[in-house]
Amino acid sequence: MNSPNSSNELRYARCHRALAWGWLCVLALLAAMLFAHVLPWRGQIDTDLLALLPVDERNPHAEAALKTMTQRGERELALLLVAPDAATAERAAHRVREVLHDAPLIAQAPQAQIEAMRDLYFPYRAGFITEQDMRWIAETNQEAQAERALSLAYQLFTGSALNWRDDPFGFFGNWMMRLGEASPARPYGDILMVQKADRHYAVLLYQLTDSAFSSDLQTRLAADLQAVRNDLAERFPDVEMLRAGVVLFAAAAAEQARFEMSLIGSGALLGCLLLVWAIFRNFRALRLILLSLAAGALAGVSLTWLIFDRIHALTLVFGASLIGVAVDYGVLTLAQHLDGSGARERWLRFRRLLPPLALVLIAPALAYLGLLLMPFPGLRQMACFAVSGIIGAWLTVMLWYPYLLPSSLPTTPLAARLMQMLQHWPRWRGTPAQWLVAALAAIVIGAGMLQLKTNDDVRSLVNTDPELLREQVDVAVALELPSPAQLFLITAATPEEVLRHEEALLAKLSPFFADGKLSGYDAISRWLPSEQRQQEAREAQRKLTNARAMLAEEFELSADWVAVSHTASLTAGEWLESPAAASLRYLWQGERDGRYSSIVLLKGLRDADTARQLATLSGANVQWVDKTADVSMLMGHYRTLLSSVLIAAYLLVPLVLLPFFRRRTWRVIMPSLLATLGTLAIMGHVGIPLQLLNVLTLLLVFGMGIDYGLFLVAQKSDARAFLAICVAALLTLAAFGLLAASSTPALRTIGLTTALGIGLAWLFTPLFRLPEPEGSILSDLDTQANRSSYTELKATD
Amino acid sequence: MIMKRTFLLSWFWLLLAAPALAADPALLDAVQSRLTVDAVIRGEFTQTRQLAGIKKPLVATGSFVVEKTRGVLWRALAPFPQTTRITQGEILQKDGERVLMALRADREPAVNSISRVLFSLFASDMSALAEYFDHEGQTVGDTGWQLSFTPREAGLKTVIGSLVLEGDDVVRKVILTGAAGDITVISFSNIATAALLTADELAQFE
Repeated sequence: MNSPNSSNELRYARCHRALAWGWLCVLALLAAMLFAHVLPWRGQIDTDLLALLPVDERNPHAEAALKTMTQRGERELALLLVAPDAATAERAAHRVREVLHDAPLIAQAPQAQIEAMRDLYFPYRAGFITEQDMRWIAETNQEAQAERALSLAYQLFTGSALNWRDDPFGFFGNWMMRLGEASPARPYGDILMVQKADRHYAVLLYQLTDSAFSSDLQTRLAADLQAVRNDLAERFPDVEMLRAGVVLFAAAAAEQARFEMSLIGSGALLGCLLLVWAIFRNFRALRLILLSLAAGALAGVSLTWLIFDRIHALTLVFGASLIGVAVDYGVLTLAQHLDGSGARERWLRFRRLLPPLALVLIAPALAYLGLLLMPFPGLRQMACFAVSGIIGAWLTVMLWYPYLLPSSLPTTPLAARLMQMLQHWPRWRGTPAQWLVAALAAIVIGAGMLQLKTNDDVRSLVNTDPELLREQVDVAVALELPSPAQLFLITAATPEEVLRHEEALLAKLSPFFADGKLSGYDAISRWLPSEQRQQEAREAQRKLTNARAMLAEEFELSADWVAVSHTASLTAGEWLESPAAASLRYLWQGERDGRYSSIVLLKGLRDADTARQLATLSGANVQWVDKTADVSMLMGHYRTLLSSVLIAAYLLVPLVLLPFFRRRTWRVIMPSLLATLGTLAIMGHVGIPLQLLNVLTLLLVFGMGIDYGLFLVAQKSDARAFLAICVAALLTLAAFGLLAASSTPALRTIGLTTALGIGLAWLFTPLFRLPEPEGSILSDLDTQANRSSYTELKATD
Repeated sequence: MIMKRTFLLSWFWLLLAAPALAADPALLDAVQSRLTVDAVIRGEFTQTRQLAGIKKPLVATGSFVVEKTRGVLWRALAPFPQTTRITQGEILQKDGERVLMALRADREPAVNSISRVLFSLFASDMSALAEYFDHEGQTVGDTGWQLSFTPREAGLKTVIGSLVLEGDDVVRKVILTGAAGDITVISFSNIATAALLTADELAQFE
């Protein structure tokens, strides 16, 4: 060894040592940050699948409206007590209220406060007349009009809750009565009651004290609701409780996710440890693998939390399954040290590994960086987790392994057998027989891919508890709840114009109500007519002056009474500020970029046909918003986009690898390309539709498949690389195989596709290994820095 | 027709209101035990309304029949003749033979409850009324009683200030004070009780 080389060596060693310490500092810092926030983070794991979805940037008004709806709906919890008679339902409701006294819930005011409404409307009552009464005024003469008022004066009492003098024709009473159509629920004591046929539903409305996705709240609420259930079973055996609320689904999903996360996490970890132990039979090797995994997980979790401030359960599950990727580097390094001996050789062998180790990072990093660029929160989070986790594990292997590798690592019988397996594995030689098989495979793959269907329906990804779903549907039917995801958005320059457009829209909707295609609606204009309409009502009331004069004479009332009061109109501003309107304010979206908007919610919308007809009512100021359809469209959009990223990755990565592998590049790419095509073909044959998540996992397959090809082509001793690939593939298969057993369709999709893809990549990789005589690609990869040690190594060989 | 509807609408407001549990079952039991067990009550009524701001009291008269399981026939004769029939599933108003309005429980879920309130009032079912109102009162002498009801719930309070009933074996007088001040007094007279409806009355209930 000459002196320049040893000084180089020394400098390199010093530099490496500094980097290793640096990495330790970084990890310690990340760990400290993680722990400092562990408490506040508890229970802040997202389980809402929709939280992963991108924001619809094309339409900020619609997005804001839907957000309001979601946020409002998210914290609501409705409990319905169903009993054969109202009194029992009411007693049960009172009992439930008692039991839930300390629950993390705030009891909600039943509905719009009718009496507060009356006080708010009273000064403006001349402007509040139903269309039916408007027609009546137009069609009748003063005698008939006077007769109506006279007759009302003799009734038991006037219907408007006003004195006869203030509402002699009962118009205001009729108008107020129409408000009752807004909801089938009627106060019964201090409880809301709905009656359908011979079933009585006592309604208890609650607001959660915290987010529906808080696990603390979910746990407490689950215990409280169980207590209610037990209590009811004991005291009111004939009362059934129906529950509805996002929180219930969130809790069920969270519990499921937690269970599966720990199952898959621990299953993958256990499988990993067993396999590593079976292959290496060495505690030190086991510890090293664990070390790289821990470093990867730490980097992934802490960086994701640092950047996104929250973490989704799906990200964690995805992350748990990345064990197979992160462990690759460690396993590869360990496999290369089988049968090695002595500290010096350990270093040399490690140095020899550096080039391929550096290259294996390229494919996954490129793929995931592509994901990071997309405006899709869920995918970005997963990509961030994957990139930081993989780099964390990789850095650990690169910087720490040289110091920690066991000095000797004898080949175990199992490892030897696995390595021998490679000898018997078919190798692509381009023989006519192989070309025939390839042609047949191409036909099968082509046929499968032709049958491939796509499915972007977001609902197919969500797993819902059938019992909860039934209760939710029952509640929605009993309370006649509007659809939260399909609505009209009305936008105009002033609040008054918004109300006028709402009124025009409702007029267009009346055939739908008449045909029973829709059963009702929620809209501000039901509660607040436009000023224009109020003005029309006051004009109409002028026609009553003669009748009023006759009544005044009959009842000796003053001339002041005769003149219909020409009050101002009730404005949107005053209405919105009134506490009476508090529970309806969600219908008003307020001002945004100088435009005002409101939403009109529809009840009883069942079929897609009607939805399509409603969509045609859209205009300059009225817009039909269908969140379900929009999300599915977005999913489709991103599926296409992600497919392009995948294709781009397949085109770009070979270009990056070309300088290193030259004409052997195709051998690196082929396994993952064939695995991807094969997976798509199997999906086509079996009938699994292509979804956004499938494409995501194909990206994962791409990354891992390239790694396998790279290991095998780059390494001289391909038996050892093959061993590493076997271990890595088996680990990944174990992790994703477990995922395929998940009851969440989204995760099942990921698990199934990845297991298929990785399995195929594993099978295909040895097929494209280098022919024996060609030797190692390593000479091409040698860099100036390690040439000397490589020559030395050759000499020792 | 519309004015009659308004009468019913007022009852609609009763429903937007509502019941709770009887606070003093002993008093209600005592009153209930003084009331007739006969299923049918017939008689005449005089309704006097004192409207806020109007000096002249408004008087209407007519007759009524109550059958405790079937319903109520309320026949106003003066100054506007009309019949209102309240049965379990329907409220029907007639002007002679002409149907002015029919409210059916299967179309408007509130109708069932409307009938219930009206039943309670006219069939003298005090415990049913007590579900909707707070009550106080006393028995008077050997046969009389007096009960005063106040709505328990805000919705009902916007319509009714108070409801006072007086009677012995039947209800003799109802004083209803509207939330805003209009007062209605109904006096019943020539009351007769029976076990069965006449064939003619029965026909009207069919």
